Amino acid sequence: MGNRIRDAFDGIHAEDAIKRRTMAYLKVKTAAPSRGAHGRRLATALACFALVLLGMGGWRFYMTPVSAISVDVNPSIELGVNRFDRIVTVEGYNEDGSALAAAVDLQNMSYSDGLNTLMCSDAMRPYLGNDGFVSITVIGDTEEKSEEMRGQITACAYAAQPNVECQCGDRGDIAAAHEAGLSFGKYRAFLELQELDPEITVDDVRVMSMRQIKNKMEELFGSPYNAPFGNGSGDSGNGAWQGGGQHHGENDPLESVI
Amino acid sequence: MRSETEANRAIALYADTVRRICMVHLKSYTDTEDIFQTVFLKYVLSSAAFENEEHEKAWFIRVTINACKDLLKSFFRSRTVSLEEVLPQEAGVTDDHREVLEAVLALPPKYRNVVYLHYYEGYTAAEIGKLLGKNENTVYTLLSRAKGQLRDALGGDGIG
Repeated sequence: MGNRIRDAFDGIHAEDAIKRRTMAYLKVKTAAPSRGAHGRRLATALACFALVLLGMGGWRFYMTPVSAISVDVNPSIELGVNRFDRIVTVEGYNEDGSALAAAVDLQNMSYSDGLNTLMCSDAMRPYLGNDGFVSITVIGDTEEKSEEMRGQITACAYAAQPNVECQCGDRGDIAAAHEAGLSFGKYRAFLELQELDPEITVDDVRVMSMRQIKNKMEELFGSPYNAPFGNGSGDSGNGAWQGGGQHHGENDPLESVI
Repeated sequence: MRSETEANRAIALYADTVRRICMVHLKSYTDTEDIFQTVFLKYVLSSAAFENEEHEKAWFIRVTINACKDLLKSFFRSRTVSLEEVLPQEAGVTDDHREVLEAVLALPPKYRNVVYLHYYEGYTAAEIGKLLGKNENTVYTLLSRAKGQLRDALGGDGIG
């Protein structure tokens, strides 16, 4: 029976066709890549590269701020807002501002939600007590956008508080404000105060809270100072904030990316 | 990577062995062709150095058995075909051979390898154990049970 099994298996052979096809298969598999294959690989590599660039471009597009919101109490922070109304940058402009920016995560939130989160945060609470005054200044990529953003913000509950004001800022102030180490919101307050008191300097304002700036204005003006703080809904460009404004459009960091 | 000449030599030498193992395990000619391609490509791409032809042959047997097992695990392999389709329609395969092969292929899969390796390739239980990664005593048990079933199927005229 052992022999029968041996003989039976002995009758089994690989067919010539399968041998030929295997040889042909090995030839194809082990041959150097043809020019066409090179072309296809190159095309694939280029397509991948294009996708990466597109992804990088898309990411850069998303992460580029075109509008900005300055929130000033004593802490001063600026929120960079992208084309999709999402907060993409948060930067503190004094020590308190940096601490606040680090304590509250606003990244990728819509600016109205972000402001709400910021105003309701534990980190902000100490600054809102003791008669703290909040100034919110918005700069959109167009005047229309600035107005739209201010409208959105003033419609929110936090902006209805008597110690909160929202106004449109001037794009031309941004570069000078940053050069002076101030947020553009606080810089607008400085320019207004300077109109009333030419002796006032950036260094004086740097250490003042928005409440102190407002009190100083009222003191110099001799009566409650209604522009921009007094009207509650802010000023879109025709009030005292705009009147004393200097324009520094050459180094506008937002303009460069629009 | 091995040369085309080496690949042709290996096919000439081991194609029959690969074919027989495929027949023991597989039920489709397409699957057999897949195994041929897998095994010989592996050989061409392998840098394994063989001490002698026996060593090389053992490598082909082990790689082919493993490739068949992998294919059988694959969801996409051909499922069932008739026994007629499995057995090559060659002039050299007589009715007696066909009867024997049918009896071998009717054994449970775990018996087929040991029957082929022992009766055809002439390996001892210890060598089969090494090739299949099984205990020598397990191989003895498998061989003994396979022998019993073949005796029942083919008549007890002295297997082994």
